[in-house]
Amino acid sequence: MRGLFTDITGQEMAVGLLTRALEQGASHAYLFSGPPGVGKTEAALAFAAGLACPEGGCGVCATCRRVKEGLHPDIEIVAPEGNFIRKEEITEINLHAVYRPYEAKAKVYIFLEADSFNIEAANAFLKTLEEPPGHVHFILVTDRPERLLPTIASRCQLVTFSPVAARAIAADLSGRLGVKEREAELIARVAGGNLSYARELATSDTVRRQRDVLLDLARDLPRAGLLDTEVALDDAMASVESREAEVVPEIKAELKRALEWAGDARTKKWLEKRSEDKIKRQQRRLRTQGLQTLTHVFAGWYRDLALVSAGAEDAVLNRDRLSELQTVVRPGGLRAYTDAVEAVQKAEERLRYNVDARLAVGDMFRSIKEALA
Amino acid sequence: MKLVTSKQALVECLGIVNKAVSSRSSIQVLSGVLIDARPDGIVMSATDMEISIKAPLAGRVDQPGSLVVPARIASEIARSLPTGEVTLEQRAGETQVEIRAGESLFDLHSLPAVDFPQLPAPVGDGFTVGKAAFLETVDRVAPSASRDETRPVLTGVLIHFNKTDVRMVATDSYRLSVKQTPIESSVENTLQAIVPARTLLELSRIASGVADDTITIVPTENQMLFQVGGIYLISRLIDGQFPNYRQLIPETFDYEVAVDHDEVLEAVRRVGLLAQKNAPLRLRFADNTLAVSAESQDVGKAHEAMPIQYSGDALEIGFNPEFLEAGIAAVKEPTVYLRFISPLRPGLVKGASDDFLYLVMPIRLSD
Ligand SMILES: [Zn+2]
Repeated sequence: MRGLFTDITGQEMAVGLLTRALEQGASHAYLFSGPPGVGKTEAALAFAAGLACPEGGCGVCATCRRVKEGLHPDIEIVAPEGNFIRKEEITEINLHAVYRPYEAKAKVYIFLEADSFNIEAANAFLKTLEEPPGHVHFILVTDRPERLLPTIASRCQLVTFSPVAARAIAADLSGRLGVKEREAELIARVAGGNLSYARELATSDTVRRQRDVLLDLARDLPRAGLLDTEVALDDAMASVESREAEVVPEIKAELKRALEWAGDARTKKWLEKRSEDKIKRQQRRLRTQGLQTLTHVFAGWYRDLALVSAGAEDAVLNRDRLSELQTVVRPGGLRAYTDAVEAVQKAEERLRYNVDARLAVGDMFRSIKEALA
Repeated sequence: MKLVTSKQALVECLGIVNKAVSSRSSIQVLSGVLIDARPDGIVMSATDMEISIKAPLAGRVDQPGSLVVPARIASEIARSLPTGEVTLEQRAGETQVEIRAGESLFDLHSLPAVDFPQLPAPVGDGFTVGKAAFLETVDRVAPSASRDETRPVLTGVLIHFNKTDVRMVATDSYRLSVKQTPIESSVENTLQAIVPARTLLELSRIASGVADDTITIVPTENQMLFQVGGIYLISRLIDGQFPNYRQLIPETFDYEVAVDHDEVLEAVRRVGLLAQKNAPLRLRFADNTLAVSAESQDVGKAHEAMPIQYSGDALEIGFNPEFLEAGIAAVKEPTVYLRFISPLRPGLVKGASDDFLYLVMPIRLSD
């Protein structure tokens, strides 16, 4: 099994559990749960490779490689069409699940955003989950496990993924991407356990710029007038949406290749629909990620100010901004900064429940200004 | 990779494997055809996970190699090429494959062969059956299988082999075909499986274009391999319980009518044209006459009568015209026997012997 989970950083518990499952016999259903950006999907693909591989998960054979690249016909990746995983999709799966795998040892269905089953789909899925065919495994991946139907969740073995430790992130960045040690440590702190965000900070100018913009907004917000606050809100929302266009060219190029290979007009239509869904899904994902980044950066900034005001400069996250923190900090502001952090956390909570994002962020801005008035 | 073949061979080979190309897969490579050029020969393969087909391509291998080309475009290109020699070449390190014939030159995007699924390779003892008798049985039975995927078992044909004959059964729950055919077979004991009807119809299509007299069959637990003339067709089998067809066929019928095969078939065909939008085709037996009639609103009506030997009470029974026509067409004899119990019980279509039976549900007539 060496090599199967090498790309998964800092998830010893989860990897240990999955490795044992491959050695001792796997359950039919797993729920991979944990915050975004910590490697759940990669782990799901690696685990699926382990289930499908004739060698029990060598990590290097043609089966393992194709599973990890999403090219294996016995491993199906299911993601929401539009906002939901729908009943038609589940009916199709129920119908095909009974057939033996085509070439692999097992058939695996990986549900991304598994919290987005609509109720009809969930009920249809429950039937299969209660009596899964012997050769079938389901992996449900979610960062919002509380939204799953309890009857579904309780039939899955839970595999919990944690925020990745800063040390592990730093090691990953320097080992895999060749980031210099100091820089890697800084990014690791800033990323707050989100490995994929850390990797993006290390590799993408856009993402670094986004962070800078948000930090500047957090810094200037307490002193901003009413009009400036509106502008700041526009800027913040623009930063959230700034990456939505990123995914389009790649998915469009993928569609173009697929269309060249497609048989008839109906298939082409189907591919186009799938591609549109994929764009929407990725954009939704990036938007959620953008909002998470926003609250994460804001909370980090005010927490840092609280730390500086308490004289604990060593503990700040945004070390590259230490001198700025020291310039703007208000002596004795600990309580106010803690309130500001709480305001961010409250917004974070509201955003998890899909309230209007602009409204939630606007309220957050007001609360921060009140706290720091 | 570099190979030299002919336009005709390429078109034919693609025509054979194309039927297994996946039309709807999220995995792009499945909409392609694998070309495997080895020193000992060239093989093309395609799979849609239900059926996989491997066929030899006649030609010369100048440089061994393998790759996957998009099935649809490759076929279109092949057909458009000038007659004569065709060269397929992929230079080392490139993803494009070049197709050359005469003055034509095409550059086609390809995918690496390692991304293509491993085709199932059923192993074990095979047996052979006579091709003509086997295909005839397929062609007469398989059309009765269902196309409704929600009941997988009915999309298959139940095949029962033994040493001296083969029996096939198919039903879509509106009609049922059973055929028992004496066949030369090398099977030990007996063997039973539910094979997708689509597989058998594909096999029939492929095998009829091949000179061999026998088909080799290798069954495994969940696959069945058919080999004919160097072409391999591997199919998934259908798990499940096939309906007990013997129970569905009534043991006795109250009426039996003998009709001239061609005459009744033509009448059903003609009159059936006027049985549209689920309107029934009516058969009325009375006074030594069979009257076939149909009427569709907004279209019109048709009526045709033919002499028969029938002196019982008048009997009128309705059928789906297509289903009745298919049943009569599948009887390849000069006389067709129609058997009935009542207008609400299934009718039976057969020839002189009982080796082919076609049971068809009636449509309730409103008046
Ligand atoms: Zn492997």
